[in-house]
Amino acid sequence: MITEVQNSVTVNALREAFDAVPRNLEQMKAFLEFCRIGLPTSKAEEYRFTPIGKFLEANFDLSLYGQSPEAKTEAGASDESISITIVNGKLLINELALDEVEVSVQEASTQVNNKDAFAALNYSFCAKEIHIRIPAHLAVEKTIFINHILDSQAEQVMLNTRIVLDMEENSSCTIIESFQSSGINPVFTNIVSEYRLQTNAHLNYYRLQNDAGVYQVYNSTVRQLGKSTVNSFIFSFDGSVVRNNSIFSIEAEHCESNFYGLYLPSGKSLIDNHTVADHQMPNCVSNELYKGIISDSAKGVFNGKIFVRPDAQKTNAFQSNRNILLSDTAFINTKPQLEIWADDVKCSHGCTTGQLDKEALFYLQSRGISLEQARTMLLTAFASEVINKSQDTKLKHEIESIVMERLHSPY
Amino acid sequence: MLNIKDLCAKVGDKEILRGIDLQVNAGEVHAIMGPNGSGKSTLASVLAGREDFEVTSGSVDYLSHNLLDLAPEERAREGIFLAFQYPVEIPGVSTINFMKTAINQAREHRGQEPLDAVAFLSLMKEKMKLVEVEQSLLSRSLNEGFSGGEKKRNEIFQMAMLEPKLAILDETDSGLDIDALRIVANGVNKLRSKDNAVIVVTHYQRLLDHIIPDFVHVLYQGRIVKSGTKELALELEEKGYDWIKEEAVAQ
Repeated sequence: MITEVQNSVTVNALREAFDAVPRNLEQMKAFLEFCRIGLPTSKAEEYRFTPIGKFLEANFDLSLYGQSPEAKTEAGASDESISITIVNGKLLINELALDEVEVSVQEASTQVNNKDAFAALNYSFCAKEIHIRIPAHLAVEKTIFINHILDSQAEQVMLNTRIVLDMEENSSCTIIESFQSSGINPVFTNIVSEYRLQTNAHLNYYRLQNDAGVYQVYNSTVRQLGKSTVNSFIFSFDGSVVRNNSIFSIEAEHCESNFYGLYLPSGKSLIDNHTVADHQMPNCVSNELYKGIISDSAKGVFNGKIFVRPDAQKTNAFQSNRNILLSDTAFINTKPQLEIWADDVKCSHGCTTGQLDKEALFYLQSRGISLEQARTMLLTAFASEVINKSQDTKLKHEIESIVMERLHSPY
Repeated sequence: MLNIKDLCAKVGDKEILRGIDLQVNAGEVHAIMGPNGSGKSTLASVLAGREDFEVTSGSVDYLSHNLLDLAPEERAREGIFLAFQYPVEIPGVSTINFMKTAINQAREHRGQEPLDAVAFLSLMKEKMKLVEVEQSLLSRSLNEGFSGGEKKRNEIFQMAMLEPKLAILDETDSGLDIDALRIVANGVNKLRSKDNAVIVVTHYQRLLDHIIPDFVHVLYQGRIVKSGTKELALELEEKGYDWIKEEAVAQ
């Protein structure tokens, strides 16, 4: 049945894992799609600089893909926050109502972006989704925390998680998603999320990836289905290989999409952000700012696509990617990609890559500031442009202190 | 205070300073003049510790330190201040935060407690008045989008805050209109005392109408070829640099 297999050993191992459990028809279709694409190597255009397949083959037993140690899960609301804790991919409490926010485990509902190997792999292995519903007219005051706990104490963790957020009209919420792993065995998380925003929905979304040694692919799609606003922040500070595919699908008029990223790979980390702003309807604005500070032998990858479809007249789409390389062995590959089919639009993009400005360092030193402090000041200032876009003062301070700690180490 | 002996420096293979001798005592103002490319700015940069220049011979004693052994920040903490010809724009760092860090690192170096917020603010207010700058300017990112005059006033503000023993003004007059020139000069004059010294590097005489020098030196091809008093500056203004060049060649 499967003919176009690229790396047959790997796919056979994954098929073994796939066949170990009964799957439904949708899953079979998705797996077929995955087999057609294959695990991306450096030959795959979209994964040219992030051949994550190679890393997975080297570090994991793929015949056990999707089987992760059981662990318990908690969810609850406190005075200040709503927490959804997902341990090794499982939300064991199947239905929850947390201050009117409904959290449940449901049959998987949609398939977007199944052109991506990891999204297809996720659908193949994941028949259920974690579903969060924000009812119409509800402004959720408390921050919603989605905490992924990854426990690899007993064995490797290789899991698929799907999260769907439905924001009904006139609702608003703030979500902070973070990851925490413990244990000695390797961890790979393959996450797919879809956030659907109806008319006048307002989402603030933060993702914090600060987990040393882990492998992660995160496919997220924000669908703006009605006049809505999203402010998205992805802070990628650590991880062996982290790949974010972030799609903003703008499917209604008068939407605003602001998405920001800050990545600080060090050591041998590889952090890759692929973003898509897909303007399908007129009169929308997207603003994108991604910044990276890359040290040691670490690698950064940025690819920013802007699509302006024929109907999307009066689109304003802006994109900027800026990078500082702190060592001779640090590496960045950055690529903007604009495809515009409408004629009455304003689009701009720019990217810069450089080292710390020597003249600026000397200027600070000449006022009595030590070289180390001068470096920290300049790097913190560089990073703060992204952090300061956030309105959440508490989170801002937390992020700032993580960044300060990271940037203070000697170079 | 400062004693420069036979100082030679180069950038790449190019010799720029070819044996500078200069002594500056506390309470004095020295003007360094000279045609373009004579090494004036290089001298200022070497004294402040800019890396681009390699000192090939000579010595610089400063308050019983071997100045050339000190890192730029150590020189600053020991009281040397360079007002930049081209102040650097630093996005994301406000002048206020920058000055707070600089002052407290200097205080730490001297074994003093850091200034608290109130003491810092009152010091800042006092110095702002002295050099006629607005607080709004100081809250902005350092020099970013500042006009030429604002940048130079910001330099003098920083100088006032740091209270240096030896201030080196590198073409601080360039790009200034007459009002800004007066404000900058006033700022410098108010900071003059018997305990500190100023080196004014300038191309033109006009700044010296406002900051009256005790000595004027003419730099040409990396050497001080003539020294005198303020009248020398007037003579240069009138006659240009050609006669100095001819004299130098004749020697």
